[in-house]
Amino acid sequence: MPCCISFHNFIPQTKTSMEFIDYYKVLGLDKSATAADIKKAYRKLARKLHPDLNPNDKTAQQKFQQINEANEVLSDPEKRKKYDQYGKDWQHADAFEEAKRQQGSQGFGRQRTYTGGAQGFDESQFSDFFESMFGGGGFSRSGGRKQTVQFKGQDLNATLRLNLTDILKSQKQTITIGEKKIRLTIPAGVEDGQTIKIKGYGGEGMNGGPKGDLFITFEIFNNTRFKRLESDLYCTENISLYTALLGGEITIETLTGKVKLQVKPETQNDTKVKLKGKGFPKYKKEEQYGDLYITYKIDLPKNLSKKEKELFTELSKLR
Amino acid sequence: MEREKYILVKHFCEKTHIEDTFVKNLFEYDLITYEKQDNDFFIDLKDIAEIERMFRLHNDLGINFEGLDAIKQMLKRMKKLEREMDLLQKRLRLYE
Repeated sequence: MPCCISFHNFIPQTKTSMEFIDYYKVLGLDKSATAADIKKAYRKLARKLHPDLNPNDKTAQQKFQQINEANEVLSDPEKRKKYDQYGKDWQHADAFEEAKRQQGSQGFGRQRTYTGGAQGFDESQFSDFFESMFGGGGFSRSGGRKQTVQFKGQDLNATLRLNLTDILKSQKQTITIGEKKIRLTIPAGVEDGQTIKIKGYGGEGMNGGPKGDLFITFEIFNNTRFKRLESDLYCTENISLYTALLGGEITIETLTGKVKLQVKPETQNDTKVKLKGKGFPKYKKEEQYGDLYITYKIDLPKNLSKKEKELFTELSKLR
Repeated sequence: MEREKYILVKHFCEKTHIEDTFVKNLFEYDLITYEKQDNDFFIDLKDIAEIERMFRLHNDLGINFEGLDAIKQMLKRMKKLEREMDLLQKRLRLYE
């Protein structure tokens, strides 16, 4: 079966490079912002961008991560001080840390503000910029109660690309994720954009929580001349003027083979006919099919001969 | 009640460190359903993700239980509208 599968996390990687991140700008503040301003700006943006309020919106999830990171730094006086002092010259932060270590002072512990997981956002994905300045470390909610919450592991998303003709029949396929092999039945009639869940094949749980799930979204490429709406198929069929006027038999190609069809005399242009059960398989309904709708398009003859013109003129006089 | 489909609220709270008062408030506000047997409260396993989501919204954004209810309804409507939009887009493609 020709197909293509690609895996990705719910959150696109943001670690593109160690570029300077203006945390004030992220929160829409200027450098003179007070702790209260920071808290207010963070809360406002968090309410707007929280992943649970923006399901399937990767941009919102990415921005939520950024505001979390910005809040993490700016709401902590020590981190903010370091950021304000070395922010734009963040490359020197290591030297700063080294100098501090030599002076016997403590490094900054990293605190994370967000604990989540069931929806698949990964709060651990702080930027490289953050990592380079503040490193890894502790885990607690800043500004709130300290707690260790068990959460389900990160959900993983995969896209499976198939042709429309691949899903005329249910197919068994084995896909490999990491070292795991998953035997998957792709049901006939699966929809474009449809997602199925495979329980327990996502990321490891947090603090002993259960594993996340794997979500496979189907991308169906229509490699046929038919248009599909659920289990019904639509197509246009050209018929000659004479077949339209006088009726006759035509043969049309369906997805499951050729079908002979009687065209009624005096068939009008754009007439629609339904072929019951000649459409697409119904999802998870064995041996049940949708209908095929055919719209007739009448081909008018071109390059008429002298004789034909005479006959059509004669015909027109009869009306 | 099929026991394997349910988890005891007490066990759930112990495992997740979510306060049982939070879960009980969810019952109070009809945000999740529960089963009661011999003075024990059980929640359906399929509701766990929903409880965790509400817990995050409550803790991260300070949303109260009335707010959680409103969000739940709005997300439900949003999903319905997304499904309808998807279907309409597919219908529109028939005329392209």
